[in-house]
Amino acid sequence: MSQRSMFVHISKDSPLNLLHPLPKLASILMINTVALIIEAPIPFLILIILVMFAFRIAKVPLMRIWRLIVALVIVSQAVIISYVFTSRIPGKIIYEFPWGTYVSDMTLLFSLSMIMRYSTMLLGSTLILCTTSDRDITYGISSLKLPYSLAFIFTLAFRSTSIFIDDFAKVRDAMILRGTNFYKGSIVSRARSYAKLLIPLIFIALRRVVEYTYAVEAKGFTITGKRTYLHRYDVKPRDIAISILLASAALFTFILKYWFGILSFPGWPLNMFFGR
Amino acid sequence: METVRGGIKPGHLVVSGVFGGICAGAALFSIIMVPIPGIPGGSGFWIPAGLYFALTLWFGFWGALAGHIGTFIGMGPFFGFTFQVWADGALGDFLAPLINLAIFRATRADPELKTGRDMGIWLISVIISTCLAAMWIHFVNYSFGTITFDLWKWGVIAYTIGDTLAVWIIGTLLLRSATKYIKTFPYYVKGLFS
Repeated sequence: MSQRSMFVHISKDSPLNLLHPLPKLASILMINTVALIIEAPIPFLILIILVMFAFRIAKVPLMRIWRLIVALVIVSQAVIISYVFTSRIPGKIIYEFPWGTYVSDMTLLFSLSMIMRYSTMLLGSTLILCTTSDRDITYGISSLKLPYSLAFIFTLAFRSTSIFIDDFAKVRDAMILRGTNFYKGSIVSRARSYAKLLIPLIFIALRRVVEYTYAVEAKGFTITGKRTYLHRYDVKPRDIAISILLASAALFTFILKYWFGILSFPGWPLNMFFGR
Repeated sequence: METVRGGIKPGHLVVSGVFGGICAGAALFSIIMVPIPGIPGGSGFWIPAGLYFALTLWFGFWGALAGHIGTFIGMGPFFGFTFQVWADGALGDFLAPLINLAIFRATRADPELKTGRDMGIWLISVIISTCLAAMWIHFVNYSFGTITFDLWKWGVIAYTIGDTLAVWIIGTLLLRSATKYIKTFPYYVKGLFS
């Protein structure tokens, strides 16, 4: 048996499915915070391996990871170009550019660290969202005591995206039948053609806004009123323990970096090798 | 129609949700059609920018929120729902139209852009707000280590030019053709929230 998350169908007995949305949101916050604190390449490598391992445990199809490779390649090449041509990372200078920046023995290592930082955030967030449905996000926002309105807007936006794509195709086909050519002319004239396409889409959306508003008001939706929920998500002691553990992990990372310097660049164990 | 706290209606939330979905779809098209190598979720012609600048002048905070949520949802599938994507693109796309709205409110300009003065304010305010958002976005990218400080200024210049053109082309067309009708819409916002 499988169930649909935001992106993929995953096995219903995935351990992450058993969790309350609160620790899932805490995981996304933790993985991003930890990645932002760390600068050292080896700890990053360990963290990435752990996240990959978590993919296996959570029974998330690894196909999802391969789709992210393109994003990683795009970011990686830009990070490397950016650091090679415009950085001044202290170290043994290998080449100095006329505009004052240089490539040192540490430049590639630091850019590799930054690529791994992005990879960690990307993989970690994807893992959690692969085991999260839009309903989980709604309930997660509510459990964080954030306004329900925010969860409502977020869910509606998610659902409206696919409706917009359908509308877009219909309006574009109608305009092509009336003689519009979206592939002819300069970039500016093509952009203007697409801009004209947005006008009917705006009016379709406005009509939808009125219809949806009547629907939600007819169902008794209010902005500040007390509300009931169809599904029950009880926060169990296990969920609280996981959330505390995740918060502690972020704090621990912070201490390791700023107190002990283990996670600062080049970090453990390279600092012993480079004598820093 | 129920009115709650300061005139904010459920319809305003629906505006953010529905147009958030449209901005997300437009963001997906922009990334696919004109990607910028290296900037997570970046595009050389950011179609949603034209949309949410106009939406914010029509629906105030709710229009900017639509841009914010839409950009995050649109960029996420390509570059992950990470802090960086949220803080640079999504938050930048929330701040830029609000700055533009503040300039419009301060100068009492009319979004219908019928006079030369209104048009002038529109053109200049777009440059100012886009430039400020570009500074924020590239500061975030620098903080996350994706770009260096030397590249920051070039990023700001390139982003300001690209986004300003998108807003001028799409936003101007939308404001001139739809504002008159949208002013009669029950959820048109005259202040910030209602």
